[in-house]
Amino acid sequence: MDLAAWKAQIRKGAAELAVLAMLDRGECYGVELLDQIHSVGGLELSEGSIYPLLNRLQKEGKIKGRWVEDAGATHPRKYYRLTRDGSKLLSEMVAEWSRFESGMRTVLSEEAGV
Amino acid sequence: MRHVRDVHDTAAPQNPMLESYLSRLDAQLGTLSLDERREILMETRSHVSERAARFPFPSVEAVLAQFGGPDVYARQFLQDKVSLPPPQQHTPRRTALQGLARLAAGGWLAMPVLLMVVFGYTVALAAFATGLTKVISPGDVGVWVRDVGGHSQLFHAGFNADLGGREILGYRLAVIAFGIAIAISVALSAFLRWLARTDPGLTKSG
Repeated sequence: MDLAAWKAQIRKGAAELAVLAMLDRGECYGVELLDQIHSVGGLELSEGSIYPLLNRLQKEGKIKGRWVEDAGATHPRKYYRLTRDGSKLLSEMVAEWSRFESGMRTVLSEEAGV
Repeated sequence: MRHVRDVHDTAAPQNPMLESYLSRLDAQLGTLSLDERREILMETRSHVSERAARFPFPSVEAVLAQFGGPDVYARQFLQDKVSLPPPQQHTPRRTALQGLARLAAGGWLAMPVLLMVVFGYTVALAAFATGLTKVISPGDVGVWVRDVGGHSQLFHAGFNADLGGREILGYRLAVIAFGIAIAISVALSAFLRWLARTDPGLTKSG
């Protein structure tokens, strides 16, 4: 596997967690979410990926969307928020991520120490 | 296939490139429901409009390029549509023998239940033997009454008890006995299978 494919796999798994975590901070629409994620850096979630992801999460009942006509906006925006199920999933994912990160940190520090 | 006509606000100026993209995207999303396609197209339109209206004001073409071609973009939604069926609630079939084994392996809490089960099966076996004997040798088993001073008096029920008097049940005794045997066996087996399937706490040694 080359580096690009490996990076794509890592990002794919992390994208769901990142989106849920962003929505945990408050209601967001697609462009806003993308901008927030891009501002953090490292994730490189694309337009072509985020909407299918939001669509799936909504179908699974993890998030809920509603159309809002914001003043000054040229088009209605679809705002998403976490549902109770989504919050529960986020907590579980964060716990899992922490375990994973801690394990990897240990592995990598041992590797560096050799 | 119905195409999504209402892509929300027709009052806003329409970009031919965007319209063409949305139309092709709609066609590619064919297997999704009309409502879902409508939502996807509305959101795509909203996104493109938002991006194009913001600094550094990219062209619609440039914004659409971020999604990839309509076929590529549509595939992302369709891939998500393919979901695994919900896991089957598969519970392996348990036998009454497994329930009995769990009781036998249980601690003192399970002992009274085990004794009751054994007693129940013994009663069922006795009822079955009674029914069978009544069929094979009708005179040896039954319920007899003898008239005493003008009143009917039950004086014996069971085996080899024909000390005179009138047998009142006849072959109905066999039907009743088999019925009792089957009812007890079915109920006990169901209880033991339930015990094998679940763990009500009786079978833990304590």
